Amino acid sequence: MNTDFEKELRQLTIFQNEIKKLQTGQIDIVTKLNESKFVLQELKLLPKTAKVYQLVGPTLLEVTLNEAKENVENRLDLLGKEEKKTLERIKETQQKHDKKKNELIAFQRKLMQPKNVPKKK
Amino acid sequence: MTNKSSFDLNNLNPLQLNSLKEQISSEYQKYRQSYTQLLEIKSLYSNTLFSLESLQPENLNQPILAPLTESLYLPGKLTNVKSVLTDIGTNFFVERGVKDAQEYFKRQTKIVEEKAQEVLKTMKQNEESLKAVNTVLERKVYQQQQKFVGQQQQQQQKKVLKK
Repeated sequence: MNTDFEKELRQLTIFQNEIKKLQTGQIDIVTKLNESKFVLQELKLLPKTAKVYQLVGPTLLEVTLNEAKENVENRLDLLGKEEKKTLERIKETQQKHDKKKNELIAFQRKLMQPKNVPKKK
Repeated sequence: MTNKSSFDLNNLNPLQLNSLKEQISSEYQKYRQSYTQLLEIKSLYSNTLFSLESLQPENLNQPILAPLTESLYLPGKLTNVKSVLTDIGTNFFVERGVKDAQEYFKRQTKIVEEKAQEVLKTMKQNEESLKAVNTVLERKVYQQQQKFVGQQQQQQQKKVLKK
């Protein structure tokens, strides 16, 4: 019985670690999202005659203002979708984690009342 | 972050209060880190503004030392005092005139200052919640100690009566 309990407990800690990882990932995505929003804002403030360059690897390439805006907008879209996905995954894992926790609590109660029928639910 | 009324705090036992205290302290550390980073960025911007001031038309063709590596400089002449490339993030650069660039950096400094003020405010709130948790924790620990001492006294009295 004890080893079953330990197995379930380990599963719980696995869930906890997964949630932590997802949350740090989430923070990264949000930072990138904010940075891109910032860049788009700046690009929108520029006059049409402004020269924009993009750093691609070790080279600095000239891009048109519209190209740059499209680029950043696409990035924002992608990041937004990623953020949604991560949030959903966090929610799912949190639900699994809570369910497992409740199972463990019920299990513990059963262990403490081996002979009597457990009245508490 | 969350506002815990003292009613909620009183319902927690010392162990829970302790872990709450640790949580708040680690949040505080993170805020402090953000704040220092923002201040660093602000000083970076003011340095940039200072360097931009030397890009005046009267400095055209002035001799300069351009850095090749950290310890190697190349003598040259300042030929461009009109435009600069400003890094706006995510690998994008914009060519601007010196005046525009100065305005850009002044704008950025303002934004960074505002963010720093926000972080400072949150830090203060954090400090207050930490104080509240500490007060309740101390009170609970004291209560527990008093209870323990009271119980011990009762037991001793019982022993005396039995004799």
